Amino acid sequence: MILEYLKLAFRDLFANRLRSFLSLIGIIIGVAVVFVIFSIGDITEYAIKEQISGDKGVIVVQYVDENTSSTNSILAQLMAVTGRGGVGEQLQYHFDEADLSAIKDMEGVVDTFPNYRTTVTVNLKSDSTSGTVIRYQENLMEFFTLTLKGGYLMSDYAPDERMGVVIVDTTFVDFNAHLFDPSIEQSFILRNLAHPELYPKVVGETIRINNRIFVIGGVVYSDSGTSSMLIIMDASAYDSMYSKGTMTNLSVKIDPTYDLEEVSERVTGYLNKTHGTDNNYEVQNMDTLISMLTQVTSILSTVMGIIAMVSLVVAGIGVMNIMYVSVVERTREIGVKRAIGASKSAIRFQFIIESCTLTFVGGMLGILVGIGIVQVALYLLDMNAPTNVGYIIFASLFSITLGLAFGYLPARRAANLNIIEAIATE
Amino acid sequence: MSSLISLKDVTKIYRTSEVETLALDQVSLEVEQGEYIAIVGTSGSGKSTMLNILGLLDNATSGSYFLAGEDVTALDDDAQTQRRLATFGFVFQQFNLMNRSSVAANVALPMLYKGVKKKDRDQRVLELLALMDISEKLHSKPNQLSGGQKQRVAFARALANYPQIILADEPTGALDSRNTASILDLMATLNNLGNTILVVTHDMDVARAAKRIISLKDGRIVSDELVDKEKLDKPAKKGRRKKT
Repeated sequence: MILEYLKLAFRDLFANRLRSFLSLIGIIIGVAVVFVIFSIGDITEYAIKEQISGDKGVIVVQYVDENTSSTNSILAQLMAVTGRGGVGEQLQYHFDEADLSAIKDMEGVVDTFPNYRTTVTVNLKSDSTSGTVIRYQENLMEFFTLTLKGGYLMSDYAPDERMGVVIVDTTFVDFNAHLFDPSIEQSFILRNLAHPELYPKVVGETIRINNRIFVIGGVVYSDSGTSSMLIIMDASAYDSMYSKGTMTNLSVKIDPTYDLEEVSERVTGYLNKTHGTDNNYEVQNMDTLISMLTQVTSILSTVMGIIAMVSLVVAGIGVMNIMYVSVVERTREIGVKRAIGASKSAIRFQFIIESCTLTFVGGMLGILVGIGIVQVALYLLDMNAPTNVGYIIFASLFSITLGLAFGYLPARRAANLNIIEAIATE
Repeated sequence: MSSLISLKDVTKIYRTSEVETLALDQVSLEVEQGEYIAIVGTSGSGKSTMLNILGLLDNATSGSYFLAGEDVTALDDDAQTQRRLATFGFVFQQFNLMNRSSVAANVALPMLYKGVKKKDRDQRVLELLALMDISEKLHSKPNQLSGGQKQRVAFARALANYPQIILADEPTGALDSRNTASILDLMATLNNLGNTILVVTHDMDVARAAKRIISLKDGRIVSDELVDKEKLDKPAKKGRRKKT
């Protein structure tokens, strides 16, 4: 019985293909947006988890001033790492050599790495780009598991040569490939196309940072995912350009056989005790970042959600309209059906099935569009995230509900038509 | 035993905001199983109203209607639909077939509403189309058929649920004389098979094919007489031949 009605409903939809499609556009957009909203939340979470697991074993200890809110401290950090202006005053040096060696000797700690980093503008050829300058230390290669892809390591250069040499990472080369080799087109999508053939070639090229000229001495690759536009600079060169005070945090590598939480607590506990501070030293977890991201995505979700809701309501009214038109067009057919034995509920059922079929098809198309948008976004962002089957089920049920809600009134009108008048309609 | 149909003092008044129209004025009527009745009258005489009330498509303003001994006057819509499904087969002047559906689907439709199983429906469709002599049109669409063929499909549809009464409203009104003759033959055959037939017409040739003629005028029955086959059949047939 239901099957027969479905068959009839499909036949009517296809008989009025264009009209059906037009009335469905709103539903397609609405469902697609709802799907994308759900996916954004998911992907953010997924990406953060991936990021955390990518850095597994390395914790970052930072000093947080209680008087500044967490957002401010992030802002201060951002300002500090840009290394411009008198930001050194805002963030004092909170780690000393004694701390480093003490933490390094702790149980469960493999190594420490003081993060002296500065985000800089780099002049490359006639253009400018940006990168993160990091102060070279003997254990840098090992600490961040970097491998050589072209040229030489910093340690291969004689101490007096190092002043004028920087080692860059593959991301830096890939991202600026069009500057190194004009025959390569600039990529505007975030996904970097790797250019391994360039890695040996860029060795010997010069770049200018703060009006000082450096020669690229080597290209390194990090498989832990931590490197990004890194420019490794010799310690004395770094110190001559940026004060040591810009060290904002300390990376600590933890033995994977030990409990991460436990060792983290031991490290921060030591720092707070020796510096006499009240929990100002803490492990920089992704909490603040996550909360910021969540805030941004929740605003985005709310705005898009409202758009989606409006779109769905408008679409629903469109469906209602099309169903009313359909009822009027088929008044005579309805009358005849009633005369030959169709009950009111049979007529109602027929029209509700039709509107549900209509919205269900719209929902399915909307999901396809949504999946398409998400996949394109993921490709551009160079990310992976699984498609949530739950959303597909939810969206299909939701669109059927929409059909029920907005198809009911037209269906009721159809069922309550006066039989004789309906049959007499031309 | 009570009559198949029994109308007692049935009055129907159509009310619009300004006018009241008396469509039926205290009409009483008995119909027995197996009858073949023509209801004639000019337009506005109330013959269609009577058919609509008989077929439970409309309710009388006053009076009572007993269908197979049951008072159906005050039944609600669902119950009336139920009786309609079980008791009546409708045939219309304009055929009123579902043009998007095949002949087979059209004939099967009343059985679908009754909840007959697919296998039984298919069986019955073949049976009916064979009876109507249009088996080869099973998969055709109504618009591929001639008027006469369409009306045969309509009769097949009307017969689908083994109705006790066939109600035909001007069944030959849209047909040429050749097809009219074939539909009259069909109705005679169906009547001979035991079907009760009520046909509304303003065509006296069609009326004379019935066994009983009820004439309406201004909502009242002005005559109700049995057709003398010996006397009336021949001139009627002659009349049709002249037209051809």
